[in-house]
Amino acid sequence: MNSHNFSHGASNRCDFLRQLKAGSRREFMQVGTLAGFGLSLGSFFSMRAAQADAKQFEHFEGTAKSVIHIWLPGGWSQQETFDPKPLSPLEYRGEMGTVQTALPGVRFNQHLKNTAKIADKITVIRSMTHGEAAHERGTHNMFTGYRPSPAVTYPSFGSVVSHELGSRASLPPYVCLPTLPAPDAEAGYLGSAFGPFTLGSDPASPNFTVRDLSLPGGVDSKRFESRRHLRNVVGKHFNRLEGSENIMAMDSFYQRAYDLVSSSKAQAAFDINGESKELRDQYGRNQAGQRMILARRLVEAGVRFVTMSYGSWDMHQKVKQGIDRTLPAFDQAFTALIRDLEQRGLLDSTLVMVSSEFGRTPKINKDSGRDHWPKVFSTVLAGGGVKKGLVHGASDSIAAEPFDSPVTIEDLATTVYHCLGIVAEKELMAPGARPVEIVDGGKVRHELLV
Amino acid sequence: MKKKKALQWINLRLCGAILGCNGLLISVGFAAPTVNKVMPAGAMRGSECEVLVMGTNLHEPQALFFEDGIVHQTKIESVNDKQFKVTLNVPEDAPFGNHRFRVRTKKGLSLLRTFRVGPFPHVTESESDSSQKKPPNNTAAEAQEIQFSKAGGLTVAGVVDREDVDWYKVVLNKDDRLSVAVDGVRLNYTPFDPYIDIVDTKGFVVAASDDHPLMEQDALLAFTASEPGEFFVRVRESAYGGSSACSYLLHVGRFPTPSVALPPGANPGSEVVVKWLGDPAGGFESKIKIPSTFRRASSEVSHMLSVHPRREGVIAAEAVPLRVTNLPISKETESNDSPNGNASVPAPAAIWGQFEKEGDVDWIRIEAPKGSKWSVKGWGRRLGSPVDIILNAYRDNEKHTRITGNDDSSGPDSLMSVTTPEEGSFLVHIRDHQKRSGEMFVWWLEVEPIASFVKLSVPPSRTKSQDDLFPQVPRGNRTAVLVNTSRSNCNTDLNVLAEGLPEGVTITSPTFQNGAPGGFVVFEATQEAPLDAAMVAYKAVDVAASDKVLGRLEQATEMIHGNPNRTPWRYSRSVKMPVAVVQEIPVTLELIQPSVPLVKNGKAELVVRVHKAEGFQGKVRLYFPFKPPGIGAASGVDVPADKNEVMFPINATVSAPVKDWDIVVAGTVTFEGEEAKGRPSIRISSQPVKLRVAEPYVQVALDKGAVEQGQDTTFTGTVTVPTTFEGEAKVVLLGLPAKTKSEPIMITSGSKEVEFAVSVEADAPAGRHANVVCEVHVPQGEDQIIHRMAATELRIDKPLPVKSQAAPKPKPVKPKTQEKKLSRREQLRIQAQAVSNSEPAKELEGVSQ
Repeated sequence: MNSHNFSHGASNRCDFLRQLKAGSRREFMQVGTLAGFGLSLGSFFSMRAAQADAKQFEHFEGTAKSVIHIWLPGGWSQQETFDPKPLSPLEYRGEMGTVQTALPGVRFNQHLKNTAKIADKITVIRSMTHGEAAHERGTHNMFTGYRPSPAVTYPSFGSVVSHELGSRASLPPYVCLPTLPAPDAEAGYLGSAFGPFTLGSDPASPNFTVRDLSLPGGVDSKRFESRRHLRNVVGKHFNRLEGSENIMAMDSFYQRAYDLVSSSKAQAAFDINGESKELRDQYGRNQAGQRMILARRLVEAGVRFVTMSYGSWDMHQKVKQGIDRTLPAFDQAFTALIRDLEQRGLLDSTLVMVSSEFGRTPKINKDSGRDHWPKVFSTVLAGGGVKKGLVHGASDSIAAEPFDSPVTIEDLATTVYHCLGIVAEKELMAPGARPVEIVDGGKVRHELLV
Repeated sequence: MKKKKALQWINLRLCGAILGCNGLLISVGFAAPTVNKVMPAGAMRGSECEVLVMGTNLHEPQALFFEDGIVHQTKIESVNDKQFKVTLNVPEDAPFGNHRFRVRTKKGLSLLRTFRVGPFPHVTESESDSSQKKPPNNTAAEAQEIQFSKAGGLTVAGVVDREDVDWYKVVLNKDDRLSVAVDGVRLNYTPFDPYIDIVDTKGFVVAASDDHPLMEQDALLAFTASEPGEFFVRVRESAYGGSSACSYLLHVGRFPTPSVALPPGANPGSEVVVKWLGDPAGGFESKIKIPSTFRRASSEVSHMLSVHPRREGVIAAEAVPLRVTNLPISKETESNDSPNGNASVPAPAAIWGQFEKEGDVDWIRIEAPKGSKWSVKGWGRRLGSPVDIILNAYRDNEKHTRITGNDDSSGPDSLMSVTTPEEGSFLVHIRDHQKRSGEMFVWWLEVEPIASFVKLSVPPSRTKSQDDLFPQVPRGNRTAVLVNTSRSNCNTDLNVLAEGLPEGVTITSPTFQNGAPGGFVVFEATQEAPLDAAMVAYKAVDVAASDKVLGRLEQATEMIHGNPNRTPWRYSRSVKMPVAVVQEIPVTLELIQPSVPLVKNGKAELVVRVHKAEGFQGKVRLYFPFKPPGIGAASGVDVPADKNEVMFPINATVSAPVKDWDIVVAGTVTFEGEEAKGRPSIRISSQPVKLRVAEPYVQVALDKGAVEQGQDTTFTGTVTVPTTFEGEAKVVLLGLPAKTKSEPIMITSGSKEVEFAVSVEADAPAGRHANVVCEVHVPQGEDQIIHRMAATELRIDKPLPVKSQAAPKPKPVKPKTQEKKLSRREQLRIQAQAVSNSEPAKELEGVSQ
């Protein structure tokens, strides 16, 4: 069955299993057992009835086939990146300079001199806004489109894409580079089958290999096959005991893991050495550059959603020095990424999203830093059907409030899903037979789109 | 195997956590010598011991600089730039407890650390002493045997490493007393929470202690052996953590373990008989003489005396606090359980008592002149008592109306202010939060007039650190220190003076103006000043009378930061801070006196000359340490290597007070190469200069503008000139959107209006552009006074679409229907509607005429 045409009614028990969170392969047996004992006939029928009432929408052909989500953890300063305020008083402006971009009258931070030249290829949203000033809550907002809830663990964008669109070309649909950036980047109520594949190793490291793509030391392919056979024997035993559907879900997950380990194409996709030395240099031989080039390589191979994190942007102290340290590598890599995607003809089908959990305070604090500020901050989009050369919205004169066309996280999430051909109003099934919309109350911001 | 792997994983996790912990010790921003650890962390009174000092930038160590000058060094031997050895002499009369010290090298003083003086001889834990080459003391079989001497106790200096449990074996006879106390967190190295217990040979825990009210996270216990045999004292971190920084001093012996004194306070110079409570063997009495002055500056802040009482000749390992006050002291009277008793105490006074019976509450009548204001402080937990005091004040009349109350303004203790009502007395009701009682539930009350005073403190240059709390003045240079003022009933302007400066150092104190949160002082060292350090007492004096002392320094130095969010766990308080003279450096700063005022909502650039000696290769970054109210400044300006003069931008808000201020510019000089050894950077400053904040000379109020793309328009505004000026001032529009232009215009003192011609190109961005401001550059002499006006808005509209010329559609002919007959009310309403609709048309006609 093609996952595009996935029907809830036909495989609802599989769904239930997917809702159970299994953190690792080791936990599979545990999950299977729990599912076997935990799903009563009553809950089975109540879930089926709930799904019959849920809002369902078919996917459509989106402008974006893949997403590269560049996550900047810590909360980046809008004033020191894409929304400088050179006319504001000193204590708001900071001490950094600005650079004229390819867009008349639009200036970026002095370190974004390369990005400034491609400003006509990207969309900068200067009026993102939400109300969560704590890291974990802001991160949750920006990864899921929802405010955190004690009742429901929401899935991240990547997991929803994984759930809705499935895998492509024997590759995991959702990959995090180099590691899981936050718990909020996981699959939430969808279950770990839709969680991200993480590298566990930094592409910028000279000894970079992907943890789960090669057989463990001392295990040759023959032994691996033997183990696989052994598991099948055990699996068949459980099939007879528990009924087939629960175990089928486990089997499909194992199958995908086996496919990944045994697929030469998958291994090639993760092999950063397949990129030319010159191109790797263009991206920059640092964390930002090598993660972005690997992200591009993965979407080119067929991964639908790549989340990569870079830097530490929680600059409560000495924001200038922090930006001096962190932004130039981003500038080089981001520019190389956009140009590379464009040259390969991938930019129009790849949505690049640069985001952070929130912005920073308008006023410089006593430690020459800036603190958390979710009222207004910047997010950057490029490719995948968004306009080229747009500065959307504006913050006020000191970057304290949205002045024009505020964009909520619900709107941003809905727009990103729209680009991918997913209707964000669709309801997915959370535990307790609770239909939950992919995004609650967001609007597609057509003014951002081509 | 799997278990081993799991343990390895836990180890890694702990390792990460502990690395984080250790990270807390290291001050990132502090560039002078740092001390991470000394081994051992303390010594016995009346002994001489060798101490290994470990840290960074320890080139050419000169001394362990003990702030109180009681403990002193006899020998120093450099090992390398990360450690040196020093031999310390601890005099026979040295006070017990922490002695504050810093490492002094030729290039600076380190952060504050403490060295703990105790009553017992020291041994070293065999595991942490590599010279002993003994097995680890991690099991009962490997336990290190200890025997306490005639002094009644022994101190073991050890370290709890990751998941470490240290075992010590003690042999006891039946009914022998075993007391154990540990100093861990109070050594001020790391947020270390030690846990101690005693186990018998069968492995049963017979006594255990984690925390103690007197000792924060440290532990204290006492145990009596019911049968003879071996017993094991174990020390570990309470959650099985630990690190190489988790040093401890374990006191083992038969010493008493009291924690509360009765009475809990005394007058200085007096001789009192004190009953010591809290020891499991019961209370005991001793007579002590209260000293007239404190020997340690830290005690001067708290006015607390730490007493180690003796019982049967054996001294207590841990101190019992005693409040020292000049107030007249009295004990609570009997039968003060209700507000109707007859006894009263005249204010000011110190009163003490106990909640002896269950549910006990006490009422104290305070006599004071009507209308007089009093500070009423309740003490309990700070004196080792388990009581959590709640204070309430009531009127001394029939209704006993409540005046005020307080629970926890001083930690668990209480503090309230009371104005004496017309009765000439008031009642203080004092109780434990949960109305608990017992012999140990001792309370202490102080009623003092609300004083007029100023507390001075130096803020660190980086929050949650000890950075730059004291000046390190290079020879022939200056260093500014920011000083905060905390005022109580004191509204005069101040000067800050310093007593005890090192030779060759002088202080310049600009006026600390009332209304400002503080100010700064500048220390200047002569070229010949000896390389030395001294403890300096800052005092605040009235600017009009330098002999009128209004306050003093009370510096709380943050010693340990821990969870959550790097919260300061421990402070060390003192009334003095060091001033050090260090080697000369090849950079000095000169701030040029501004010739024009800074106007409200205006901006200016200060001229700073950076004098660099020939061949200087380092970097200089300037900053503005003291910002007067309403004044903003760049957080820093880097001085380019090829420049000796830079501009430092400042601005004023619209509400900045119109005043003259003293300002200074400081700089961090970062060295490279050989010069950076032992001192990567140092802070210096310019001399103070005056900055005048004035009312604006000119005000320009711009109207909002609106224009279509591709059109020209004019931006108009009205001009008011509160202060006349000579010549012409230039007015510039800033913040116009892209593809729009406007030329500066000139105005004079006589101008009433401005009019900017703005051209807008056809592809100028449509929308509201709200950040359009105008700057007025008013000439004065060769300088300009730059005024910034409030922002206004330019709206750029897209041209309206051209209406199509298609022939109008014929109006559909409505079929005739029978007209509804209108009521009189409906007729009137329609008439009124018609009249109101016609009025705007008339107005428009009027305008066109």
